[in-house]
Amino acid sequence: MEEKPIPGSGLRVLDLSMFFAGATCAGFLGDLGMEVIKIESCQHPDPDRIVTQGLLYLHNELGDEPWNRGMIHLRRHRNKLSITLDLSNPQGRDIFLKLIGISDIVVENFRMGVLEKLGIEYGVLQHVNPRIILISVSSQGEDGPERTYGSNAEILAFTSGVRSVSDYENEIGLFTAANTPDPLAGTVAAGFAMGALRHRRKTGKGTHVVISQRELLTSCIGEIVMDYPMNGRIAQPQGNLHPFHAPHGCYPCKGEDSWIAIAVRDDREWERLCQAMEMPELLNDPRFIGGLNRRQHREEIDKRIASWTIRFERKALMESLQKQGIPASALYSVPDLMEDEHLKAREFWDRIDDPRPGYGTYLCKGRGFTLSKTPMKTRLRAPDLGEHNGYVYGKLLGMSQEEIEGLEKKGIIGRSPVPEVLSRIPKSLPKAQRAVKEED
Amino acid sequence: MEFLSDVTVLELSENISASACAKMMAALGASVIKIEAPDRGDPARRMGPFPNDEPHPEKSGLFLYLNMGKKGLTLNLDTKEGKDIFRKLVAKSDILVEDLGPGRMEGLGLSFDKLEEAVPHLVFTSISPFGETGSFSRYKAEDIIIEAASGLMLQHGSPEREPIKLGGNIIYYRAGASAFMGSLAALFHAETTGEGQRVEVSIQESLLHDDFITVEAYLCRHEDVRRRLAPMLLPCRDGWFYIRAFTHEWPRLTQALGMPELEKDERFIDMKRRSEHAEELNTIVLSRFGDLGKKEVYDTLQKNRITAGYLANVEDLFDSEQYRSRGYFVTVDHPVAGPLTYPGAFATMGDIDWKHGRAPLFGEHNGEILCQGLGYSREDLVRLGQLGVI
Repeated sequence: MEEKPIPGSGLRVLDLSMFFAGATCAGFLGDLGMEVIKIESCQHPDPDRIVTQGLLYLHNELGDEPWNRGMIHLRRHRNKLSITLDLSNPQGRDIFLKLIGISDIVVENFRMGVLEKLGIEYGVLQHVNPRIILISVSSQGEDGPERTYGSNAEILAFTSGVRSVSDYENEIGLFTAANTPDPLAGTVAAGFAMGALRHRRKTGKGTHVVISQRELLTSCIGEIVMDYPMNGRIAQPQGNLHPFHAPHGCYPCKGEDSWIAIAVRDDREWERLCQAMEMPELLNDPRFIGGLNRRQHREEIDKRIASWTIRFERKALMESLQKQGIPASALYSVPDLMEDEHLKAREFWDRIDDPRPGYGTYLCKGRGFTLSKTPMKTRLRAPDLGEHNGYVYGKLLGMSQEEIEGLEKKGIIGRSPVPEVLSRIPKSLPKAQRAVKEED
Repeated sequence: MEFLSDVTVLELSENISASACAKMMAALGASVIKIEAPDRGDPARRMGPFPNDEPHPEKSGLFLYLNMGKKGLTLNLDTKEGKDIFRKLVAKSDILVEDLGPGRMEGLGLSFDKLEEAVPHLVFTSISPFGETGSFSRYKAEDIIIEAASGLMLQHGSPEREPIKLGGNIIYYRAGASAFMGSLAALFHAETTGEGQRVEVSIQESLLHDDFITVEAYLCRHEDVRRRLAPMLLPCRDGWFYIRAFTHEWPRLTQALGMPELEKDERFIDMKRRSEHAEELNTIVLSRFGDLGKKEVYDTLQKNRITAGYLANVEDLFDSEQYRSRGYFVTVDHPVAGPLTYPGAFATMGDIDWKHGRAPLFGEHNGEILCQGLGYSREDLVRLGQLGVI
């Protein structure tokens, strides 16, 4: 059957990344139709396979091979193949370099310096294959005194300055924050990979792209940062305040932890809101004409709005306010969104029918953008650890069955994590809030 | 030669995100033509910060930053001649990126279907709060509304208080990144097959895509994970620092604390026990680090390969030796705003440079684009100006 070409047709990616950022980048490349080979080792499988964040395993069951059932792994590594390869073993390294010879892109997010330690830094890869592209989704960039420093999403939000402006008004809050750094970096990195492919097509040469996740995040508050050299202003967190619009905030609705966000951007929207609330006295109050005036008197106004919103169910109120031309949205929880008709109609969710025994059907979230003619769908469910050793070593590299078995005996490849890693897998899981297994 | 040095991009932006997308393309060498309405210009021109807090349409920090390295054209798309010029520009372009809102381009008679007919290789990228289709698509929205509708806001803030949004315009930059990635994938495809396509970014979906574990927590255990308290930041002499003692880092942390005996201490033997005894552990950590400066704690921990951070404010970024040594901040001159300092390259690409240009003045390149590019005469320009087309 002849298939319509898709953007990544015929290209091969080696995904060395662990955790979120690099995996997101390689995942996008897989979504575009490239053959993405995720490389782990039995000694160091992706941590998301082992003690997956929040101990989240499919249907809340560990199964016989828990390392293949991590829910984050099932989402993050769809459209990828899996092989195991111990890169710290010289023979493993040689095999990796053979793969470099038949690949187009490598994605990694090791701590800076690890590639050198393994003897697979860009110079080495380029020597084997001048066309190879290396995408390093690093913490701090390729140089500088902090180049070897590590980070996670929380730390990047702190060290990039983003958290210093994403808090309650003039406070330091000790709470969890929305996660943006890793998926943002993965998305941008995949864009750079497409750029590097284009460049290779013109020049015949690969490129080593190194993204500094920290600097990338700072770039998303660029204008706030510029205010310092411009006016000496060190930006402070503003909570839900807008620099010149008001009212602008989050108001309680009926029910526990139930809220609506309302943003009034001009006097016309203010008029509509006052009418909706049946509070003509607010509309007629000269103190409340113009956004800046309302901002100055926000406490008084916010109190009145909250006394009104609390009487309503958040989604019904959202619909009613939107119908009257007032920007408003219920605060949706993620479970709300999984049931939401708007996202369903837009086919945001991928429904995966996984033929492996005990896996069944589950949802994976979409990608944040769509392509009209080459849609990105889940072609491949997430792979078992080492599932494609046979294909990659046998078919792609032409190794014999004996050679492959030899590698298994030496522990260079395999299908199961080593005992020391297995011992870290939890023996039991927290109880589900209610039965979760779907009956089809 | 840069990644996109022979690519032409048209940008129509009134909501930051298309500008943020095209900004990355300009940095990679694309020739970006920013089209503004002659009567009002990009609203970013009216948003600050401004030098000395004096508003001026050519001095907006947001505008200058978002539009580094682009060319400026004014064009009234409500006029027939404006539309004609636009179509001629599209024919010479590879990518069109816009964030005017669902239905706006269709309303102007410049829908993807119509443009594609004439320019089959066109990549047409649209960014909107809720996507071009679906029951929310025409809802009125801005930053806080989209964050509320994406599930993000219920994750951010204290459980004892109202949820809060992210600062500044972060979500628009985030959506711009999705548009950047999608556009370049579509461009690569168009150059392979000659077939362009529509790239559609829903900001709501791009934020939901970023969710960490909430979708999975619900799927696996019907847990509804929301914002919660997390005593992550610890105070020190001049601010706050943060330690994430991963399992394999715990022995190194006990070394850094100068208390190797803690490694086998029953209270702290694994992540679970450490979080149960967080207060005791914090007291110990503070006794060692509480009197140091935040940057000093950060360096000490990181040099011992312990994942740690410090709460950096904007001033700290300019003090950062890391940023300074990499030349992250760049000073770029501008004919009206003068030399200003901007955040610059966040990536290196071997020997390929990141392009740092300045933002265009209002209509600065009308002559160049229309006369040299499309063959209009100087007289045409005067006439188009009088008619309010440019």
